Amino acid sequence: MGLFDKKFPGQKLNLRAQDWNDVLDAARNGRETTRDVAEVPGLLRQSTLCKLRNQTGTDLPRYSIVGLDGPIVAPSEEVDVFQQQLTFDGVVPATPTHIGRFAVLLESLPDGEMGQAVISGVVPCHLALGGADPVPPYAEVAAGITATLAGSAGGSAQVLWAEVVGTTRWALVRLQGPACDSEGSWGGCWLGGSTTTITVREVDGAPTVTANTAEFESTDGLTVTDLGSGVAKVNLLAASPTQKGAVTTGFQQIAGQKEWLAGHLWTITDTATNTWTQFRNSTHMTSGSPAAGFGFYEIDQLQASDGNAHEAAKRVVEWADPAVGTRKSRERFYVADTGERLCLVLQADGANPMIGFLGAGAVPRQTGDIGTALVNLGLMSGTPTSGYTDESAQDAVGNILTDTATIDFTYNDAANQITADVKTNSISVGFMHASATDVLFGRSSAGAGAGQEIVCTAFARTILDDVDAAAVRATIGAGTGSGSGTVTSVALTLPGLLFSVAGSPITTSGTFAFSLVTQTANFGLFGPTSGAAANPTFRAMVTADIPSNIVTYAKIQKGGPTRLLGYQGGIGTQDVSELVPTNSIVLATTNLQLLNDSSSPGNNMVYGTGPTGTKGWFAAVGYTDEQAQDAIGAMLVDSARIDLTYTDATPALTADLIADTITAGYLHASATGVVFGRKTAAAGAGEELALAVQADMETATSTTTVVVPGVVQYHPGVAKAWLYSVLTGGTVPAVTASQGVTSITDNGVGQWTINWSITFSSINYAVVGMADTDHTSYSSTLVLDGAPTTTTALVRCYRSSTETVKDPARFSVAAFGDF
Amino acid sequence: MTTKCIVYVRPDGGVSVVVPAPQAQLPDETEDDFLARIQGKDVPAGVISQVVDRASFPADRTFRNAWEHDAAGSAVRVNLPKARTIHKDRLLARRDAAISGLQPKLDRADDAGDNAKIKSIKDARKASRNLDTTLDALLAALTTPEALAAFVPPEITALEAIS
Repeated sequence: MGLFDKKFPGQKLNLRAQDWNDVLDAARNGRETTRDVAEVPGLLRQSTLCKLRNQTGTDLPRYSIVGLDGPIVAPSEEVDVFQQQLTFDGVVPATPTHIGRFAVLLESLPDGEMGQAVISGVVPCHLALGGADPVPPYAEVAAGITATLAGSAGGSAQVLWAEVVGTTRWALVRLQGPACDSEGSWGGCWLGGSTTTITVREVDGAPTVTANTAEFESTDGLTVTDLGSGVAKVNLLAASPTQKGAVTTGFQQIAGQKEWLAGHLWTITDTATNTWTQFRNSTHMTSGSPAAGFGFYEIDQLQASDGNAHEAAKRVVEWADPAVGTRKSRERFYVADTGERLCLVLQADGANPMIGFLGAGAVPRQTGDIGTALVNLGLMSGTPTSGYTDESAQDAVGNILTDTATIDFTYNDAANQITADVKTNSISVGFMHASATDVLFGRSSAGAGAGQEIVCTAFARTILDDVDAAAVRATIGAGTGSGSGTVTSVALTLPGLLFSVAGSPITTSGTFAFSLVTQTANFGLFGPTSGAAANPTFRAMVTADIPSNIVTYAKIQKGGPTRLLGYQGGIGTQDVSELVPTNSIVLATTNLQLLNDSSSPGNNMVYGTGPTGTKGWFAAVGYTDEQAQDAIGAMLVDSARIDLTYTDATPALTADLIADTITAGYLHASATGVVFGRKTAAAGAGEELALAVQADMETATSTTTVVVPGVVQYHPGVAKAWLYSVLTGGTVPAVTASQGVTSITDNGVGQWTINWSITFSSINYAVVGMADTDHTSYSSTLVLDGAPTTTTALVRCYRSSTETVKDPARFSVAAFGDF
Repeated sequence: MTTKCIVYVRPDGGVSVVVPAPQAQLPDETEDDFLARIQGKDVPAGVISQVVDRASFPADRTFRNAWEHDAAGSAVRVNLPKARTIHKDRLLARRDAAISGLQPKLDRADDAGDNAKIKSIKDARKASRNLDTTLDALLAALTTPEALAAFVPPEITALEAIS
């Protein structure tokens, strides 16, 4: 067991003398050291810790990050305290104010309270990182954040260790002030971690180097080698103000992405000391494995009128397809106003370049109509028009059509057609197609058809070339046209039906002789008896050979006196012949008369059998004859209403009406609204009586009109409406009987509205009503509740004994008035 | 003859029942046409009415002024709170009438020196007057119109039984 091993309670302490003396020396030395420090005014006991007052406005937990705002006690206030103890006011970190000027609390600290904080050295704290980001080499405060430090490529705190995953990770960091304190700064920009090596080399002369600045002449070059992650700035002081400017190059990790933003800043100052800035940032676009869209973009920013840099142009280079075997890249170009405007897209499609304009996707070389191509390329919007279907284009084409001497153009606007036709008689030989020698245009094939070339023989061509008939005769060997010939035989042939020929043929000289041939008796030369036309032949006539209606009576054979032409006796068809009258009627010279009676009987004579049975002429007599009268009497027939009586002795014919047979339809016509009767006081003939109308009934004074049921209601003494209602056995009243009432409305206990089917002419009408009584305990009174309307009356039923509204077992209501 | 009526709710909340007069039905007029004509003529303009069968009404008119109906087509029914108020008024009126009739009986008992009788009458009268404050609770326990109509507090029955 050694001297410095600790003991347990109750354990025996066994020290050697030398060990005890060492303990005493150590204790003495510690006491002296403490005394020395305490006794020397202004000597700090602690330089890595401080007392910090929480001025953030909120309570802070342990290991919070606070910005150092200044000592609590300033030297001007109390210099001894300022010298003896490190104190700070801690505030919410701000950038760049608190970059490298912050502390980590070692204890929870309410707002306004004081506690211990680490301002230098190694301390635990939290880092804010992307979930899968690697552990950064440095960390720095973030504006407004007290919970964590932000990991970065450069910073005032060196990350010694940190958890490898998570967005808020525990870490051990070394608070050491700005990194450049150990590595130096250049142009005011951080150059990165402590391991960065920078070599600055003057190309053609010695640079001017001070403690914090490396300066070069404008003609000097500058080479920066082995620059690690971080930012570099080249600040050139020009001999002329027009050449002033600065270039800053840096890298920055983008939150949530693996890769880094690389940027350039150009600062240009003119003679008026105005300053322009331009940025170019190149940024990786993805945090994962390359996929479609993987690439980077560059943004050029220009200072605008507000003094701030704004995006002016952007270029994106990315994979449309990152697979190595099928890889295709795409490049997009933007310009900007208040937003990005895609102008041009370039892309490879695997075999061909593609291009797209004005926001459209890239497409390969276009075919087809130009409208579709322009739309696909993005140079036009809307639906492309294809071909020349555009009306104006078509009309324009139609308008420029010009007819020639041989071609006639026609433009049909509706059908969008142009037709060209050859004008009649306009095609001269010069327009005919070229042909071989000795060819004619025409048609040699049978039937109509397209024109053909007809090749002439040389002989035919010769004939065509002959100038006149004589030349043609010469060509064909027909002589001169004055030659002679010889006829050796002339024969004559005639139809054998009519003629016979003799002397034929004549071979030298002679005369033809022909004669008619004989025919059968009563035969004539006729065409066919029926049917189609045919050669005529000799035959007997048939009936059809005589046209109808051409034989007049005069052309019929003459007959003898007192003869008729007709048919006599026998049955069946007979030849027509002359008939000799032999019975009662003969034909006189001009009249028809009885056989053997040539007398003239005179006027009003009839032929018949006389009173004695003798036939002869008798004078015609009228109807005064008894038989005629009897005949008339015998044919009298009574009807249902008329009784006819014939008195032969008089003679007289009487007709009388049969009782109870004359109905209203047989009465004489009369005006509307009239009945037959007698209105005069004394007895006498029947008179017409008028029916009473509404006005008669309402006047109620007429004694000469007749009342019918339909107008009784208009009499002032008649109830215009009434009802009898029963409530017994029902929960709503029943209208047991009524007249002039459409309904009653049950409004509650003892309250009903009577709804008239008529409309009174005013509300000045009487309503009367009765309700029942049980003869012992109560009686009921029906009252009119307020003035009625012309169509309704409200009634109530009161119990007489209590004057409360009640339901009776039954009640009745009637109304009198005018309507 | 139609067995249908027309029901509508008046602006004051009361239920009106239009009972068509059978004699008003025109020859050859269908029941539906007849009811439609009556509905158009005798129902006030602007109110919603419905044709219902007579069987849709409560069994009696005991609480006629407590009838209620809604436009959803349900049957006409008794509004129990209203019915309790009606029945309460009736019972109290009945009690008051009974109390009014006690005086002759008190006089007779007094004349007869029947102090026990006098005391019993006065006790009954006093008990019945407590109904002014107790009757609401008693009626609230009754949940059907039939139970409500049949209910008479024993205080009133006792009062009426005094001879």
